[in-house]
Amino acid sequence: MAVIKEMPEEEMPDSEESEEKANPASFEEVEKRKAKLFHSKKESFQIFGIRQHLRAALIALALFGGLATYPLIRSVTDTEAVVIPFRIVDVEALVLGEITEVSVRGGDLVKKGQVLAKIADASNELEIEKARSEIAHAEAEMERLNARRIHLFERYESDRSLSKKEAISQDEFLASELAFKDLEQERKELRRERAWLREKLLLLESERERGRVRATISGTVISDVEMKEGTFAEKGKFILSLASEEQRIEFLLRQPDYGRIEVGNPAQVRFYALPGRYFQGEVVQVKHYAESIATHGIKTNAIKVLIRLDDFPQGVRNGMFAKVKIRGRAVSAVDALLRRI
Amino acid sequence: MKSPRQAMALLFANPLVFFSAVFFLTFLQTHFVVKALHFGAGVLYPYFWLAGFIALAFNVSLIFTQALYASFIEDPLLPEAGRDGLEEIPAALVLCVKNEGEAIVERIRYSLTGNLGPKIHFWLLSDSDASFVEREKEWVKSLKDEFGDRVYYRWRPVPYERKQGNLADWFQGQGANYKYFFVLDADSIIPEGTVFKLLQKAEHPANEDIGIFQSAIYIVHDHSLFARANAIGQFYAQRLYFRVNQAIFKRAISFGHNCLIRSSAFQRIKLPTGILSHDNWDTAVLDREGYRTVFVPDTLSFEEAAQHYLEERSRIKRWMKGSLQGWPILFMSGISFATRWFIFYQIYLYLMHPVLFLWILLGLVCGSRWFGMPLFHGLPPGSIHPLVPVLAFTVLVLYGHKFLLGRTFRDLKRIAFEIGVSTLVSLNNIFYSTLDFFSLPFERLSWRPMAKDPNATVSLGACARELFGGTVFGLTILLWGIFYSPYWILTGLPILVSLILSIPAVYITSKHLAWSSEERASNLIQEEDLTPHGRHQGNA
Repeated sequence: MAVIKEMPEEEMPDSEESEEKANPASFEEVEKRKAKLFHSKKESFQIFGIRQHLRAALIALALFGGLATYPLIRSVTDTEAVVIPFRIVDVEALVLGEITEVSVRGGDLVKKGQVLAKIADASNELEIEKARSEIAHAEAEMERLNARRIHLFERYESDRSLSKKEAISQDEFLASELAFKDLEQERKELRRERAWLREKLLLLESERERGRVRATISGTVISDVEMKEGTFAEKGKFILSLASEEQRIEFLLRQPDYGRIEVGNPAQVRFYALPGRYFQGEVVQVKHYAESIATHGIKTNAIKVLIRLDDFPQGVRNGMFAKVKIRGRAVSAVDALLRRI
Repeated sequence: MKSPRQAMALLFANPLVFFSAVFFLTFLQTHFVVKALHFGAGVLYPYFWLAGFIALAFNVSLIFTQALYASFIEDPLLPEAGRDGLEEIPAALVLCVKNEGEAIVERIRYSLTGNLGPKIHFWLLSDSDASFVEREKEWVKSLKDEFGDRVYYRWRPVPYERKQGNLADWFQGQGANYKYFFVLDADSIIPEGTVFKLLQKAEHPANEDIGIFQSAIYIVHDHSLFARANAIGQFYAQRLYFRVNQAIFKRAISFGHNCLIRSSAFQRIKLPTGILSHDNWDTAVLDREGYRTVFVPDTLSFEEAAQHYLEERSRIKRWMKGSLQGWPILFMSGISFATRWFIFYQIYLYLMHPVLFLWILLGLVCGSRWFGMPLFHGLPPGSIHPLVPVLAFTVLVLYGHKFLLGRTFRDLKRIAFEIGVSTLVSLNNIFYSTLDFFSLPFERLSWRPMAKDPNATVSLGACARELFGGTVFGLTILLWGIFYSPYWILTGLPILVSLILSIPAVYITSKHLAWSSEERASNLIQEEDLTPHGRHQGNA
């Protein structure tokens, strides 16, 4: 190491001298001098710690590469999963007629069997009224016959005892008996007719009952049914849709991830409406066909997957968005990157 | 009580804050671009395109942040010792030469005037061929006649390790007697008093940990349009990048010349053999020894620039070799983050040429109708494409950031002129530096001395010969773009114009300006006014 010191005047270097000193006489001397003043490349890598750092960097790079190609990514995530009902039932008109009354609105919760709307058939109503009137008439006639029967029966019993005592002639008794039997016959026919009328009324009323549109399942009305009041319904015409109370989470699985998900895979769901809460469930269905979807203007195909939650939270409405994370078959980061659509 | 500006400068002059801003801006741009990119299954090109974009967006963010910083950051001025006794400090001005022409004597004469003292000497360290020695001795003799016995000459008949070998060899002998030495380059021109100013800084006790005091370097003899633009560019680059870097990191990187080196620091370093660019290694090895390298913005020194693009291209290729060869410094132990960052950034800038070139080609091909697969999503009706704000930001930053330094209408005119010439001529670097980069593995790692001729010109034929390839390439991609990728042409227009018009543009910008050399010769005041910084700075 050279010592730095102030140079006295007399020590000023002489140009010619310095030239002689500085000029090495031979190449060997040059090499010696060079070795003294400079590190060889190999030495410098060692002395400056470059070799160690380089080795560490290469190891880190190899580790990174290994991690990137090792199947570490287990989860498939979708941020646009949708809450859907487990079942959707379409309620149709069973009879022909005018929708006279709609007693529910879209979004209403209904119980199974609840009347949702009424379809009225005017001719059926007339028939019912007629049948009822005829039944009433038959009932009144039957009352009259019953009253007359009592009278005729008493007369018949009286005439029979009088005939035995020969207080009256045989012909008079026979006339009394014939009158009673005719009445009985008349009553029998009237009873038959009344039964037939009742049966007819039942049939007509049953027809009217079919005009009452009832909920086939418990759930939510998911169509705008109120607009249908006053319209005419044919048999088989769609009236409204009911969504079941039980719900599922549906998301679109991109094709490259198709092989990674199967029924039974555990799923974690977070609803955007319920921040901070996580719900556990499992994949219950992976559809076996792909559907066309468009994302940011690019058309592609995706497969629908359904998730059932162990405990579905209250207040989550159909159509709400959720984020789902499913633990499926693991893939590497490189693989995941290249699979992205 | 600190002013709001001082308080803000203090808060922001922190590498963590600085890089947070840079990374945030890079992230923001990337976020928009990711929204626009179409990632297809099983294809890699969108990822390559994105990687290229991130690499480039980082530089745009960096430039933007530096420009913002430059508008409020305080000048990183070092404290100075008094002027008394400076001339008694043993110091040397050292110039390493190899086969230089006669013109160097005038530069030396100018540099020695007002910079020598009783114990401040000048050393001409020659690695020239034997045939040059007699001539060099005559130069020294004439200089001795003028400046006395403070001028020394040393010739190495068997040169080794280029300039750093020359310096180390000298330092091992006579150089060790000096407390400081100022390194000159063959084209260095040092105004009177610069060395004393640096000595004042070096002598202050607060600066004892500084090994290299790098003076600001401006360009003179900018006779051509191209050199003029370079001079303006270099002036604002130092006002902007180097000043901001020094303020934030409290250190800088050595340029290898026009700098004062503390001998006690220099004696502790031993460089590796075979390096082409010693300045980066000097900075790093000194850092390892506990010494800082600093940029001194309140000093003044000059050098000459290439007068035309062809010379500039050969210089860039040389610097590229040297900088890329310094990659091991990135892995050197015991150096500061700032030094590592400066070295990384130099390498990054050279690597960006091929990256930018390939990125442009990828965008051109993959964004074309010919390719079939879309690189970007379609534009939804009535919406602004996410790429539009990114493109606008990039263009604004690249073309507008220097205007933040403009204080007068003249400044704005000069910056506009520099941007115009850079766009027209220097954008050719994207093509030619890429070619040079890919040709490096097939070339020997040699160091050709740069031609230092302020009167150099270039013929139209030479321009055509050298730039024919780029012109043909530019026309080819223009035709391709018209047929297959018309949108790309809008974004690639500056590069296309630069490539297609490169031959006449390089030729015209190499022409000497009458107003430059002739008027300077007749009017000294005007010469001072024509220096790149635009005003007379005297002894700084």
